[in-house]
Amino acid sequence: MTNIDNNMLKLEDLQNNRNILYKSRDDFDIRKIVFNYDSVIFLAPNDVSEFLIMCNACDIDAVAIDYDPKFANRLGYINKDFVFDDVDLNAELIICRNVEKHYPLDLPRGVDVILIGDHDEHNGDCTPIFSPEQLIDLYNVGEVYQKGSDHNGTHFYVYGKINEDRVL
Amino acid sequence: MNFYTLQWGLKYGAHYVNRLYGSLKKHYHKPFTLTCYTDQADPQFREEIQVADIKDLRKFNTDRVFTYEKLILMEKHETGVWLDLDILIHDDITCMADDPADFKMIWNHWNPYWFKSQKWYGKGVSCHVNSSFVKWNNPEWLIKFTNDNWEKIEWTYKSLDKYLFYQHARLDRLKYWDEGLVHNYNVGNHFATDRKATFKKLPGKVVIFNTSHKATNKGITDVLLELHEADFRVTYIWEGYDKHRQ
Repeated sequence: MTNIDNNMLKLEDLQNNRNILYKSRDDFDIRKIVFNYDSVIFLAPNDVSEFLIMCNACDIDAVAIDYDPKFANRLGYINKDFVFDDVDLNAELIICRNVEKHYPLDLPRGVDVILIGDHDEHNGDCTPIFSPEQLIDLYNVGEVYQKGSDHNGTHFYVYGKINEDRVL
Repeated sequence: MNFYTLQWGLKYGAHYVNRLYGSLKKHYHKPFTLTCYTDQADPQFREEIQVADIKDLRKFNTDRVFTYEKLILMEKHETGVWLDLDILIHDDITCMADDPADFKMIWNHWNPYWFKSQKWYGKGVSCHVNSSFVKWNNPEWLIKFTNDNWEKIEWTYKSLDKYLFYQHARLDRLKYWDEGLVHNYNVGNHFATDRKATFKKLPGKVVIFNTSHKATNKGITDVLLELHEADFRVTYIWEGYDKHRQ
């Protein structure tokens, strides 16, 4: 684990990065959690380039996996489909920012995860999420560190650990 | 050459199937068959049309991956051409149908890819290919990939076209008809808006109408005309494919 004083990171510089921010009812803040880990993978986060650069500058091995061709040559991005392609999901923390948009992944056992999903039912959404409990069941999260929703009650999150003895 | 089409429900009647046959008779200049996989063998079908039960193509019990039955056609028949019913073939397609590619489909040339498709790519709502006119020659790789990944495909994609776009166009596995051969009636101002325009020749060899995505996606406000609702240039040719007029 890497423990860095959050004040040193000038996180307020990232206030406008809506792909990182998640406005929950509580004080859940992905940015602060990330800095407790040595390696982090963001799955289909859209543009988090600045945050990736900041993480890596702080010795956190942070990458994003996103199949969108606009990230083909983007620093810190692996331009692959993490559902259908062969990808390395070896990290201390995996963040799925848009669970509603993809097939439920087979995440490594014992890995810490942040799962966020909604039921806004945008075109292309295949896994509408209606509660944190659904996320827990879908991904077999064993230990739950934190869970909740946003102010509108349409976006849900779970921060926890994938069960060690996950039955596939 | 063996051509195949699918018909179910009430949206497109026997006259659509019959006129498709008529268009092939006029614009494919070699011996051919047309097989219609359908849920209702209509007695009004032309006697030359071969009829098969669409259940034979429903290998998977799903209401997702719209028209995935086309993929099962490839398992059953090593080579062929599948055609949607709502297309107008209006020029010689012999070279297209005899194309040796293992899998060739429509690239939506009428939509600027970088402007439109890539904008929505990451949201999973982009689609820049169309399977209204497809030639195949034993694409084992596609059949294998589909079978190996069916659970994920079924979960993820609402339509065959999106599956093909996101999983195979993305990795450059598909081939496409040259630009200019296929046009979309509902995109690109191909419809005639005045009487003078009705005398202009239709572009390319095939015109598609591509209306199904309006039903499966919300927020599409475009006016999309069906083949039978099109302007005089289209309906004149289309009705000319009736048996008694050939």
